[in-house]
Amino acid sequence: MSLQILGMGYANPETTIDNAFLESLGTGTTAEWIVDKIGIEGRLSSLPLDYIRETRNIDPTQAPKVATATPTTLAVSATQMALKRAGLKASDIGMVICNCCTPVESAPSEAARIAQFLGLGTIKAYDIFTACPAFALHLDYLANFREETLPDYILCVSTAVLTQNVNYEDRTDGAIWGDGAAAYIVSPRKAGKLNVSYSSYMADPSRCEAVVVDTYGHFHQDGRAVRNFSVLQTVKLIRQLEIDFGIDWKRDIFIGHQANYTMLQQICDNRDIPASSHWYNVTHVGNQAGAGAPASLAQHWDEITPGQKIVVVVVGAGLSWGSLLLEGV
Amino acid sequence: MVYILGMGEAYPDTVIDNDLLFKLFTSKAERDLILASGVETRHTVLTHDYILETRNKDPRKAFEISRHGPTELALKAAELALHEAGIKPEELSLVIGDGSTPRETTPSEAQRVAGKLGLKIAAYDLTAPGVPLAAHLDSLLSWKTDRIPEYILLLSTSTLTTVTDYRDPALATLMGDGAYAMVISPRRASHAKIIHAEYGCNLALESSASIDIYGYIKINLPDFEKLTVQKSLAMIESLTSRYNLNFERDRYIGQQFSGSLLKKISADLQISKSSSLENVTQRGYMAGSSAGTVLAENWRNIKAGEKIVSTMVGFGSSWGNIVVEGV
Repeated sequence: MSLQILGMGYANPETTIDNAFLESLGTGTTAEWIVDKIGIEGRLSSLPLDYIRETRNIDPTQAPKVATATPTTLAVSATQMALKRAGLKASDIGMVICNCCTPVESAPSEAARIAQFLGLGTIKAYDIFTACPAFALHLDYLANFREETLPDYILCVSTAVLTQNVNYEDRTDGAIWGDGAAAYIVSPRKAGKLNVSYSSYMADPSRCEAVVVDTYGHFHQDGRAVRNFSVLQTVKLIRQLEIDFGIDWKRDIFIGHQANYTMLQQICDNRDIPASSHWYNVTHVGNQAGAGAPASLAQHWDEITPGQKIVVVVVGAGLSWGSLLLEGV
Repeated sequence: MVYILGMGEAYPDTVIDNDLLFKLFTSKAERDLILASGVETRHTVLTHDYILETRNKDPRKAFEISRHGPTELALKAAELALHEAGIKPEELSLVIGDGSTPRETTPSEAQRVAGKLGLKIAAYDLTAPGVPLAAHLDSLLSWKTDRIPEYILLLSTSTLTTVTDYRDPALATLMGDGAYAMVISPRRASHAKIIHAEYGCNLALESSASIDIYGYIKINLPDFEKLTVQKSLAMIESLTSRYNLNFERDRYIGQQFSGSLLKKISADLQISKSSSLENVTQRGYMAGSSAGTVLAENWRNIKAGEKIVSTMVGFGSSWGNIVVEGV
């Protein structure tokens, strides 16, 4: 039996950083420029606006002291939604894997912290980490296992609070990032709402310095190189899935890495994907790294129909990429 | 089952001996505590002057002044492992990493090392602080045979001295820096095969060890040591009956947390000094790197039929073990 996804959830902090606020910081950006360049209108942050205004988060070590959420609290909220949708209790979970690029502690693993918050006992919990393409990595990683070696229910989580690692003196970085978590309950043998028909994950680590989050510093990237890589790689992976699985964009759905909306639109234009077949959340949540794509799917959970194919292509730090073909059951 | 084709270990050049610690900790009680740990020397990426002058009161500075980072140590270990395995980096298909003191939280340690090797292959971290050797192999031994690539590089690296508060003699005496790397294959045979690996956590227990991303390593020593003894004894009991272990023939890599703890566990298990493999007395505790570096220092001498068993306890009330058998 292929892997099944039984329930999905998402969570975000409540504070919205809108474009007018970013313009008011006086870093040279304007709301019009942001919408034109990256198509993001708002992003959700665990940081109070006053803190951003007063400090620009120049010293990110101060951010956790004022933050309203941690990667773990967001992950637990997302998990509770996923469990409810799957009709399960936390105690049903037999394994936890997590992806987090902004941990509060480098040890224990984020997965272990989440499991402890959920009150779980003796299980396997560890982080499987690649940043943005984690949704594909997690499912491709689990597809490696012999069925009998996996428990009935596996909790996969991707969570990050990247606004806590943003330098708000930088007009571009400040406009990109949001905070959030996505959780998905996977089973190797129990029937779910989505069948994982295909998964892939690959990387080009020789280019890994293109996207970096310094432990004691800020996020930084080679924006032009990453954007070119992201568009080309995503288009290539979609095209392959179109060939292999007979995708019909009148019925089927595309979810890309939620980096920015103009990039996603460029990809949709290239593949003739109509607006009605494109699910995204980056315009109002911001780029949530690995949480973006699965959170977008979780937001549309009740709209998935039997037989519908969902094409997920995720790219990002590493540089790494992955793709999924999910089918409504 | 997978075969070990090559292993490498790396440590920074600078050594912290007890005489250096005695310059920081001058009272009799502090000196007795240092001596009682059973750790005589540890390697560090820091300089003696930095430790003596600052006691690492701002760990951010440790990152700035240290001579190497965890990635450089892991790279050195990886190059040694590849050389020993007799394969070129480009023959690898997968790198799985682990680290507890990253300079960057993104990209992953595996991607940083693979990047320095010039590779374009799948690379990600499977992070299980303190027990990656068991977690990595537990995972791989559960995979479908056709999903395990021909050559895989596993690694773990940590520079715990950069997150050590050198105002605390109990932790200052324990912590060291190091990395290991291991090249394995499911198909190409060697003289050592991994026949068992197990990993788990009991999250009902309060975690007694952590490392703040912007701070220090913190360990509740009595709780951590108690858990370590309990789990080590239970794991060896279980493995002995399952694999017919005999420590007159087989060898044991116990928890490399302190010399005194290792001595206690070996005594409880009635394992003689000659059957116990260790490096904690000379290298300190290196979190996830400890067990792997001991194995890297000793696996070449494994004889046909002999087993090397390693048990480990880590952060998040986690534990694991592996059994290596000579072919």
